[in-house]
Amino acid sequence: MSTGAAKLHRRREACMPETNSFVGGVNPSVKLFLHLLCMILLVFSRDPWTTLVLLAVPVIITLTLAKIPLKTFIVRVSPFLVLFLSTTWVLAAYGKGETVWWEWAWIRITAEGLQNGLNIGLRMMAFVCYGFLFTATTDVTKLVMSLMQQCKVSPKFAYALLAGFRFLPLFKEEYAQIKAAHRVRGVARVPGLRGKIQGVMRYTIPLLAQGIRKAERVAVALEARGFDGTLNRTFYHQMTVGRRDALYLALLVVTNLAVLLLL
Amino acid sequence: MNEGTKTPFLGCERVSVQFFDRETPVLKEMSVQIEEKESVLLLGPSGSGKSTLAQVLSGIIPRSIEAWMKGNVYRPERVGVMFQDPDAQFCMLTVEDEIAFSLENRRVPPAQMRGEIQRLMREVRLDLPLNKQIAELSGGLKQRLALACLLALEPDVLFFDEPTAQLDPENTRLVLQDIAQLRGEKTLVVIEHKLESVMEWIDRVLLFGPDGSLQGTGKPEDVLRDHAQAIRDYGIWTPRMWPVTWEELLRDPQHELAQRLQSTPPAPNPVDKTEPLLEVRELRMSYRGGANVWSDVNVSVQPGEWVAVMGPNGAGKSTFLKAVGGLLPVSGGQVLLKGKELGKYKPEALYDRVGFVFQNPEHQFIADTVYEEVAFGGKLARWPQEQVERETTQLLADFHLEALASKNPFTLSQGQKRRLSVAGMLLKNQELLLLDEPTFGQDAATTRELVERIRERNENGTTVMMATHDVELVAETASRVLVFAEHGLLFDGTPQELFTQPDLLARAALIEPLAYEYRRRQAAQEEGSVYA
Amino acid sequence: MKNSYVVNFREIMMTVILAVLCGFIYIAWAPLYGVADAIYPGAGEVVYGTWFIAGVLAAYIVQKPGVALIAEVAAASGEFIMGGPYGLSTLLYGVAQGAATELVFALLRYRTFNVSTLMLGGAAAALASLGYDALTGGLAELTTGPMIAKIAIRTISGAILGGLLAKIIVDALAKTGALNNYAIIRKKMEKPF
Ligand SMILES: Nc1ncnc2c1ncn2[C@@H]1O[C@H](COP(=O)(O)OP(=O)(O)OP(=O)(O)O)[C@@H](O)[C@H]1O
Ligand SMILES: Nc1ncnc2c1ncn2[C@@H]1O[C@H](COP(=O)(O)OP(=O)(O)OP(=O)(O)O)[C@@H](O)[C@H]1O
Ligand SMILES: [Mg+2]
Ligand SMILES: [Mg+2]
Repeated sequence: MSTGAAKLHRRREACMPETNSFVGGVNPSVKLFLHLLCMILLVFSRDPWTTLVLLAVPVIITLTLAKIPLKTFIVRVSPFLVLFLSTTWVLAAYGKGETVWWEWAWIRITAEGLQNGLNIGLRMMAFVCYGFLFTATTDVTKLVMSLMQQCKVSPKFAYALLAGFRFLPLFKEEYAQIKAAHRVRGVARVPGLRGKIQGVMRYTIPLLAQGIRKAERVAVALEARGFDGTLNRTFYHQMTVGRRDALYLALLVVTNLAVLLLL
Repeated sequence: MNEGTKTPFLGCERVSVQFFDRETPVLKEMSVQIEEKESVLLLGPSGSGKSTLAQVLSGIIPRSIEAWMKGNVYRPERVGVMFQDPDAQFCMLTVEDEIAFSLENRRVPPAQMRGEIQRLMREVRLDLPLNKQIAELSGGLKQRLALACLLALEPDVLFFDEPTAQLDPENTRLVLQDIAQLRGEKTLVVIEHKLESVMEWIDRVLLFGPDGSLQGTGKPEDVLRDHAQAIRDYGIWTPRMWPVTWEELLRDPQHELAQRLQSTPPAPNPVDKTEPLLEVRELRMSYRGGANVWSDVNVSVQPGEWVAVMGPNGAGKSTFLKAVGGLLPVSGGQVLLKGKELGKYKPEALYDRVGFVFQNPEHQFIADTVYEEVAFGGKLARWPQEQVERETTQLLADFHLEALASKNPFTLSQGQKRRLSVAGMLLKNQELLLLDEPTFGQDAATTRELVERIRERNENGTTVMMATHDVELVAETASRVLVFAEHGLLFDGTPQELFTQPDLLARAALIEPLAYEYRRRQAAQEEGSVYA
Repeated sequence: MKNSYVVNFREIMMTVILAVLCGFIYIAWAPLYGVADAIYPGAGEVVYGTWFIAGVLAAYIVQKPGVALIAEVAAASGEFIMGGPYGLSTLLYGVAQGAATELVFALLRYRTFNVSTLMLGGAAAALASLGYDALTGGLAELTTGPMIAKIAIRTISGAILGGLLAKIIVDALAKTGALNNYAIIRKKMEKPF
């Protein structure tokens, strides 16, 4: 119980997005679409150098316009280097290519493969960076509000999503609670791997069941408060699109296109 | 369908409701009519269908909770419902967003919202910053916030399903006061066990029988008088004093109630003074990132004691029980059970000795049927089959759950869930029972049954520690009280000592039990007559 | 009941929360996939099927149009918001996979939900994710052997971990009584009045 709560707290702190920056003030929907657009542009880059320069765009924005400290950035993004390495490796070792550099068992490293691997590995890192830039500067409530106001996403889905995000940390607590209940009721833990697997099953099903029950209760409570799931409602947090969004659009499009066309 | 009569403001006509996994309907051909601006109380034993009727009238059944249903329901457009569980009714993070959600549904222009939110918060006396996190509110504050959210809907009808079940006496008073203020302004449908503060402003009572049929309806005093026998048979709460007043009672010491109040509670078990069962030393608890819930707590409990744990909402009663039960790592200090630190016990060995009933009954359900839930402990301990069967059946019968043996624990009514969670813990014979609000949401009969079973165990030597807000229960049963308040253990002593110190009671947001009030008034009267 | 083919708010809520919980599990899976795949191309694909489970799970419980898609998008959003490794591409994966699973059940007109259709739903999601990989993730740049291995293993994993496992989980959930209000149980009950 307490460890769950503790984690919950840490999680909240870790997730507190930096919204007082230029990027933080961009409309979340606009930001989302711009980042997706940049990702599409990245697909057009065919060599690792261009991709590396394109990757620099979100990194620099993160550190300057988004006011994310370098340390936070490194801590949050470095785990994904594993992904970069594995992607690069897979294509280098098993990719198409003529110029063989090294061969061993089923591994066949080629120059073209490595080139492709680096390109796609860097592209993946760029995807990660755009994702991080987004989550690190966006408040979830605002995102959902803007999805409803700018993108006309159905409130049924939007509020369900909001509740889903709200509950995630709570489910850790719920998990601890189920474990505590099993302990109190005297369900003995079986040591070893078999016990672990048994434990996972024994806790997962109740956790999912609790999740379903929780979802139903919230649905009941919201509907009982006059929520009808249509866009026929007003919004306390008015999300707008303005000059800042245009600037951000210009910045991303110009830099990305410049790199793609000039390099 | 209307047979010439006008459409009622709120009501139902020959409505039957049956839940999917039940063989019999909860409500059979029920017809109810409620006038505009009327205040109606639904009164009945636990599991009789009060919540179900409220859900039908408010439209939750069948819109959000599905069940087979037939018949007609009439209701004005805007209704608001307040649930028993303070946590089940919020979806946002902060107080202002939560109230705003109601306003948004009503299409209030955004520019007016902030002012509206502040007005609503004033109305329910919620003196908080707008962006206060809901998770940090105490149970009482949450219920007041829930009320503000309902009022934000500007509903024509308000439903309250045991809004005070888990509140301390002070918060109960405040919430009921808030609700009472709405009387005559809105139509109110209330389910509430604490009758004394409700009776004064209720216009009409609908009395349910155990089978979900309507037994009677009328003015509160008429129903209580005309159906006195049935009410006693079904085990429904009556107001603590009703129908007498203090004046009458003090004038007539031979009155039945006066006799009962004068009788001293049964002497507590003789306790074994030699070796403490439980020792708490310099205990301190804080949740991560928060201040101390309490600190410097020193308690030593002898075998056979019945210890009540009291205090306002959020004072840390549940936290204390969990710490003592080894379910929370403590932030400082020690808990010793029979001289051995809790951490040194193997979990299985520890929970052979210690039973724990969580405040939220659902937290401890681990089986798929009511029967299995109770039988679980016996099966685990490899009792002989027929012993498990016999004792389980007995417990289910005692707690009025036998008809539900094959049902899923999560589908029970609030009161049934609570009884089941206690029953599951009573099967085994632990040395220490930790019970977190074992009687909330119960009717008089089931409370009596629960107390009786716990007392039985206590008489056989089990030490009982129970958190509760019910001062009558404490006055009647406990041999000792711990009061948590003001970030520490405010009081540790006998109920007699506690309940005769008005300043202490005020600090702990507690009220005087009836018997103590009687004695105090009696003493004051005698003193008065002496002066005269 | 009328409107029995339109999802209501409660069902959407259930779908989303179930999916977000799955998204949580997806994140735990991701490093495992990366490392296994680096050792042998296709090895990581063995566990890939779990990424498709949310859609099949929810569709099997609710048995109404749109649910598989909603579930996959919600799971992806959850994974993304929590900082899953694939960043924003998760969202695109989610849409592609959800749409594919949805298509399978739509072709069956949301009537049959047995083991084989569920496995088909999982396999369809696998194919959709492969299509996305071909566009952005370097599937096309692999040599033929590993490419075929990847396609075959992922599809099979999708069928088994995405489809069969979903069935096992839902059947276990049904025993807890939590699904009483959904089509999977409701369809089997008789109306008393
Ligand atoms: N969702 C549900 N599914 C199946 N059965 C249910 C459900 N809700 C209530 N019941 C059953 O219907 C009956 C009436 O329940 P209801 O909650 O209306 O009782 P109640 O009078 O409010 O009792 P309490 O005072 O204990 O809350 C009970 O036997 C209960 O087990
Ligand atoms: N898991 C948790 N994480 C953080 N804070 C918590 C947690 N559980 C309880 N608290 C806080 O600790 C304090 C004590 O809570 P606790 O539940 O022990 O109070 P209580 O006396 O049982 O209240 P109630 O009468 O409402 O049941 C409260 O302020 C509460 O907000
Ligand atoms: Mg009830
Ligand atoms: Mg408590």
